[in-house]
Amino acid sequence: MRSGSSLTDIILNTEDIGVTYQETIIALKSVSLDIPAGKLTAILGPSGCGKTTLLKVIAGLIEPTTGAVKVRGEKIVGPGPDRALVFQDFALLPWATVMENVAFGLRARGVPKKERKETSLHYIKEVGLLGFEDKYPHQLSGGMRQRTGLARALTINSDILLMDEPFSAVDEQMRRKLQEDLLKLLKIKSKTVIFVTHSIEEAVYLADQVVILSGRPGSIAEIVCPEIDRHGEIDLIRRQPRYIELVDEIWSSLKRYVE
Amino acid sequence: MLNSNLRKNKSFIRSFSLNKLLQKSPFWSLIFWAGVWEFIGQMGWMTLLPPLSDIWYAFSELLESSAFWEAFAMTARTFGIGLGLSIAVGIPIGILMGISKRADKILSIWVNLFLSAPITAVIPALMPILGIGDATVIATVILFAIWVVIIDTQAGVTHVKDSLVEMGRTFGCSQWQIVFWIVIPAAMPEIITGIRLSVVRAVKGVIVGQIVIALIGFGGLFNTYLSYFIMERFWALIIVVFVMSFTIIGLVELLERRIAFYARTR
Repeated sequence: MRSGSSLTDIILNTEDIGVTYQETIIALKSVSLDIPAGKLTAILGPSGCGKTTLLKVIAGLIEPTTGAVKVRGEKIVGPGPDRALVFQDFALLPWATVMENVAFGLRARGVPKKERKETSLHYIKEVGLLGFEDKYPHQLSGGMRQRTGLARALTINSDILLMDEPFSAVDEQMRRKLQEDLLKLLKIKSKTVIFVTHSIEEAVYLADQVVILSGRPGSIAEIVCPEIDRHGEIDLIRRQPRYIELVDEIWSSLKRYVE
Repeated sequence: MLNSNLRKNKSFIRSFSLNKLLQKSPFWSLIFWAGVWEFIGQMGWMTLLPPLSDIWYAFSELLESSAFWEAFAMTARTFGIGLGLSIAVGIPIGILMGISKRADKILSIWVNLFLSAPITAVIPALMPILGIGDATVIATVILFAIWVVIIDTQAGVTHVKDSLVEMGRTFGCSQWQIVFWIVIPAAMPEIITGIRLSVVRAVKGVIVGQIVIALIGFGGLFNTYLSYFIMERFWALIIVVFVMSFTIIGLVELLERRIAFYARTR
């Protein structure tokens, strides 16, 4: 369902985005990017290349110095309900339970308490956290915390899901599990995902489109479409020759940006 | 520092055979030193130091005198109002300084100046303006207590993780929602610490204020007892004031431990 179809339906695009800090530090330079609807786009690059900055510009948290972000052709001004963000450090409220954390976005939108609870419970179940609603973040493992963050992002039912190195703060086994679960989730839900990562393997494994950023100032170096067959068993993806080939290919093109 | 002090104390105490008993509990230490006091008092070596038993007697007299209860009521009133105002005004100022760079630039020099300034020196200047009464004592309490509330609240607010605020923004929270739902609860452990420290300072402020004015409240009593040389009552009053401060500070610490549960988990 996800692979094979053309990348024509563009839900979000950036036009010539540039971000300059303090008038001298150029973080991003003329980034023009098309994000196909219903696909997972990975933004990949060495650390400090501005990939998180790009995601925050798309989220509406950082105003670009030049250029614009458009969702379905409409220029965005700040954050909006069409985009939900999953944070690298989870960004959970430590004094609030899983339920309260998941319901936060709904509360901000003024959804009545009962409805809030029902919707939250639905997504808590969907990310596999049923039974942990009343736990506090410090009582959870890293993986469970990020599941909470994911559930919170899902509650507002936005078409676009932005993920900022979401699995980088958990251990390797948990990362694999979360990656698999994300793919499973995307199989049943039609979401457009923009996923920032520094892991080539993660990008190739998950993404329909991999955008490679060059370092300082960040600009698009290359765009690769993995075209990996994800119809079959998720476990088999990493054994496909195409997967192994691509990881090597991307590494050799990325190498020159890593000092 | 504390450790070396303790060790010195221990080696001093070790020369007594009571050593083990004293180490067991602070209660026995109190009893021991009370005994020493009583002994010196009974010997009559120092007129300034009457025997503890006489002070105990004076203590019950003190509790029966209306002058004491008037002074107590005044102290409680000025302490309560001064501390309440310090917290109620200090927290918003601290939040403002934490979220607005401009407010921080304008105010931080004054807050830091007053935080370390010898406030006691200012009290005589307050008297002609505010008169000899509650207002001056309340002002003293505020001058003692408010700065630490402001500083700690600001520290708490500036240390709130950026990602939490960004999270609020992505969900479309208003500025007020971000302040009340995210920033203030996230800064709560520091705010509570600020309140605890301000209680300690307010206790000092309310006593120092009355003593410098020397005509009202406990300050007036201290002055009277000293000038008429009623040392038993003077010491009884000192003990009352010590016990009161100790109790209030103990209560606040108990409260802090209950509230600070999530400070560990951030």
